[in-house]
Amino acid sequence: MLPAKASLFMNNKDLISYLHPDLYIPELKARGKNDAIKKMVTHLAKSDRVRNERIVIETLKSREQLGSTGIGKGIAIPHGRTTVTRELIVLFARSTKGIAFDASDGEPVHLFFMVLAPHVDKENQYLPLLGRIVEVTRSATVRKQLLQAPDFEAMTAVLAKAEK
Amino acid sequence: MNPQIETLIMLQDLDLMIREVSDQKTASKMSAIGFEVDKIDNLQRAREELARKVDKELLGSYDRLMKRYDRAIAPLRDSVCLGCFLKQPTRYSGSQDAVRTCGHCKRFLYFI
Repeated sequence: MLPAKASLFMNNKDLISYLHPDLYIPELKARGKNDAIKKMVTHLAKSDRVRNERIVIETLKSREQLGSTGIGKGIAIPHGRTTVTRELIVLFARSTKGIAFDASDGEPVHLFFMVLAPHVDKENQYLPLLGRIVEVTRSATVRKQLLQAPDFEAMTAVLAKAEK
Repeated sequence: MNPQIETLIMLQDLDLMIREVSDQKTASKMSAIGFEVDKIDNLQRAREELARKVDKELLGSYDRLMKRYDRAIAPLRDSVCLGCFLKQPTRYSGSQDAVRTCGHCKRFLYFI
């Protein structure tokens, strides 16, 4: 039997296949965790990916009560399953200055991967995708390159290389 | 969207989150990824707070439906309840402000 950690990363599509130019915020401006979540969800709602902003915000804020999704080293992966989406969605946002997000290391967050999934995830992609984001952003070089990428294409190129 | 339905959907998302992280296998996977999932008590408190915003009668129906099915609220598309896949009366179309339930499975409906 495979160890638990190895099984997390099986059966997964590449992270970049979930990224879209309209789900990219090159410079997120927010005053703290709740404001950052609200602004990212508003961006999602504008792209028509979610049906009700308030419900998604509530779900993500509830998830933060379970434990912060700010996992340290400037990375946060706010995530949750919600009734009001039909597909697995990833929004990527950056903050050069950094945003206080109650991260595990107490440092501000610069890179955000917001992940939303429906409750029924037939291909079982949700947990493997969360694991994949953690794996890919473990490298300090990748984190630095993601922060410096001038546009969406450059950012996806960094992730594509990191995923190989 | 009807405000009570909106709150019920928030409650459903929260209940399903509690169910998911209460599952030892899933909680272990989340921890292995690197997420904290130990403050379930906080979620229970948030659940109680949210439940207080729902009309008592609706909350009673919701709780019964959650015990009977996986989800108490289903989308309604083209007059079909996507919980039981049966067609609803035509009058349901267009009346999005009222609390509606499926005529067959009794799940709460929200319009998509």
